[in-house]
Amino acid sequence: MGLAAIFSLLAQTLRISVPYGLAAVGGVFSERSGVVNIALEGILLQGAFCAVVGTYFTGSPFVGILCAMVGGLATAAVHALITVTLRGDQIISGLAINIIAFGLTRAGLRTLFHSASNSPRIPAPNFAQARRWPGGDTPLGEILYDPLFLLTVLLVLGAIWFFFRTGLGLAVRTAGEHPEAAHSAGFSVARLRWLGVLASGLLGGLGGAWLAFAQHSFTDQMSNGRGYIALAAMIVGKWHPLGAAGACLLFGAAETAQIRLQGAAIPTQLLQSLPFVLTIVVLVLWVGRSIGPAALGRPYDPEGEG
Amino acid sequence: MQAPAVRLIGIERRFGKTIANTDVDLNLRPASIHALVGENGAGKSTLMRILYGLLQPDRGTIEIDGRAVEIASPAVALRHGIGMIHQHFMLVPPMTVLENIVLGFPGQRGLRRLPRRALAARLRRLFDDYGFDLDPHAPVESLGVGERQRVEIARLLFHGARLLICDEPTAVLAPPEVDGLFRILRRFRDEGRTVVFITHKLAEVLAIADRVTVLRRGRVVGELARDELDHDRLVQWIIGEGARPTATIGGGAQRSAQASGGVRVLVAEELGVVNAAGRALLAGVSLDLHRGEIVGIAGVQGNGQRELAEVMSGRRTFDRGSLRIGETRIGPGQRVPPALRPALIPEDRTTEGLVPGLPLWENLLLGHLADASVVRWGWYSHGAARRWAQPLLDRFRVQPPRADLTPEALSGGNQQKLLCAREFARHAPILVAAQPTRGIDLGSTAFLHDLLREVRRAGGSVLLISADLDEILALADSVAVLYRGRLSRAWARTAIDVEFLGRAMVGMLPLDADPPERETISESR
Repeated sequence: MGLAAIFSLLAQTLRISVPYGLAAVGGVFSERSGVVNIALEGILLQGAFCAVVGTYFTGSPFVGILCAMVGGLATAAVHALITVTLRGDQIISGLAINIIAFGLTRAGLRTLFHSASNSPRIPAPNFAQARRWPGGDTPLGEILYDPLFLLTVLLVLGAIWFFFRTGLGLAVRTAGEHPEAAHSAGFSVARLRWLGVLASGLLGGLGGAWLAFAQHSFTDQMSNGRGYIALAAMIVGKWHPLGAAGACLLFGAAETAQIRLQGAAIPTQLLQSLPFVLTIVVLVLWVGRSIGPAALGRPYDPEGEG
Repeated sequence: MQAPAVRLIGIERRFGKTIANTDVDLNLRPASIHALVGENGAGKSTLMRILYGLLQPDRGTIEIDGRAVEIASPAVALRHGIGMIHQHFMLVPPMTVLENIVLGFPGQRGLRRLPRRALAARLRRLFDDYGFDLDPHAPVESLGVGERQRVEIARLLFHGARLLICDEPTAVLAPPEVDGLFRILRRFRDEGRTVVFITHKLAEVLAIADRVTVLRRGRVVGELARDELDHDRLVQWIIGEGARPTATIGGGAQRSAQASGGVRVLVAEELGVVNAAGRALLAGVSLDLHRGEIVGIAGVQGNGQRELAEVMSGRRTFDRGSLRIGETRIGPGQRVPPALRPALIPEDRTTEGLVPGLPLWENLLLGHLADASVVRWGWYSHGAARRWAQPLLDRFRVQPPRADLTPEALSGGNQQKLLCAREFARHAPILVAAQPTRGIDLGSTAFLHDLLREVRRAGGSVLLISADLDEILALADSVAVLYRGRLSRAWARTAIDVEFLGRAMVGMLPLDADPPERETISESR
């Protein structure tokens, strides 16, 4: 296998990993603050749909990215309202949001694009001069100079900085570990958790945008369980942004292998299950030592006795 | 440094129909140690949570330096220089000492980078100044309880608190550590800070307070200055007129006649328990429990008390050594047959003992599912079970004695009586009682102590695991100390005193130490 082939494998792995990575790091924000966020699946879907709508009606993919962020934020805001402000059950809220997201995007598809399955084709964002940058015309260069990919890398690094270098990050982590302590230190636990959930919406929305641009369109139910896989990756990555991103790369590599091996003698159905089997194996082998935030899933009532 | 003069005027706070505080006036003078005393549920913590902004009063005002202020949140309280050390520490175990201390520090609350090195240097100076042996970068989970408390104290100092509220700070400490804490609190006063000290131990009040305010059922019943402190008067105020005074503390044990040389009902030999990570929680534990004997196990919680209680009561298997209950030998990994299991009053009655949401009669029934008089063919009739439960509630004086209530409706003392009703009704010859009176009122404590004595009189045996030395010395016939998972030799009650035990339970004495010379022994504090 030549260097070009390896680069092309690498490019494909990165391409597949990005939406997982964005959603998984989003999950870190939400869960570190103490809120379980299975709504990530719906957030991805809403983000993808909003990206397509924004791009289609303005012609600008960058407007599409903005729309995806807004769509993700709005979806996450519903989750935060239910779970943080109203102290509802976090799993039920997430499930409901996912089901509603399926319905809403499908209805949107019919109303705006008069189709039950997919939207018209849209352009993806890129830097116009990128092809002239070193290696810009190779598959790897194409993704490394992708604006959304660069943003993803920045967001992962920024998340690490935020959680482990800033006072606010420390407070968000405390809200997930021991909310009473955060409250006692003069923070509003509700605000910290809103912040965490909204950040997960922003990142998840971007992940959805990536899905849409990778396919140049929106198709019904295109999130296809990626939100849940991202949550598994986050757990494998021990609720650390870098760990979560690394786990997503692993999963992306498995999916790449699966795609490349198609056509070989192995039955397709078996091959397609490879990334999931890998996730389960890694989960089982790792999850025993992966301990989440102590107050994860526990609603906080500041006036509660105790 | 001058602490603010703080006045609470006419404070009232209700939770639903319960009145936690009403018509409370409290005047906290600068540079003094002010004790707030009362039984559990008297409203001490609620009052202080109001002052710290964790709760809002329904009525009343708070004045700081003569100006009325609204303390809407702890952030506001901290700005006024008011800090609080909670009964349950507000520390995040996986985070470092430094992270726990700087959390929420003004200027370190936003997106700016935490200047860890500079903060660590400041912390080290603070630790040196107060003689705290702490490493800013150690995770809090690696620290002992006393050290964690010093982290909490350092936190308040770092944030510049001039009025420190300490909610039962001695509840988790061994006697030598209490002395250390008192030195620190006195220094705060001498520096011009104010300390509010919540406790229900009168000896501590007499030792440290400049002023005492007594609360009962949410109201102030009296206040005394240091030079008018009077033990009997305080007791009367705390438990109320006409209430039964407690004669249990400092009473000394009456050793039952048949204990020594009697039948051994429980024998542990070289018991060991190892956790999943391979750490030894108990190691080489040997002890004998005779018929008609109370053996006291003293020690600071977290030294293997929970595991010892679980193993000795047959709720948990062990990894090394052997256990003999009656005539039955149990080896490592083997389960104790249910019929042989000693009765158990667990360390944490709310999470391990009782089921919230289940009515009292079902909670009682839980320990008696094999009792053919209520459960037949695996079925029980609600009516019959209620009728079966009622005499138990009456006999153990559970207040209110209504079988349809849930445990949440009971006070801590009554929850404990309910647990005792369930466990005692099994008529097991051995009882393991872990921290049986922790955090419950004086009346219930006296009742429970009487129960334990009654068990002994009737020829039963009690393993009493407790951090309360007064309780151990008042009840036990022989005493051992559990320290870092190892059990000391057993000393006869008559051969030891509080000082000796206190030193042994923090590891200042070897576990096979000889008891002190006869003439140095004092019967009680």
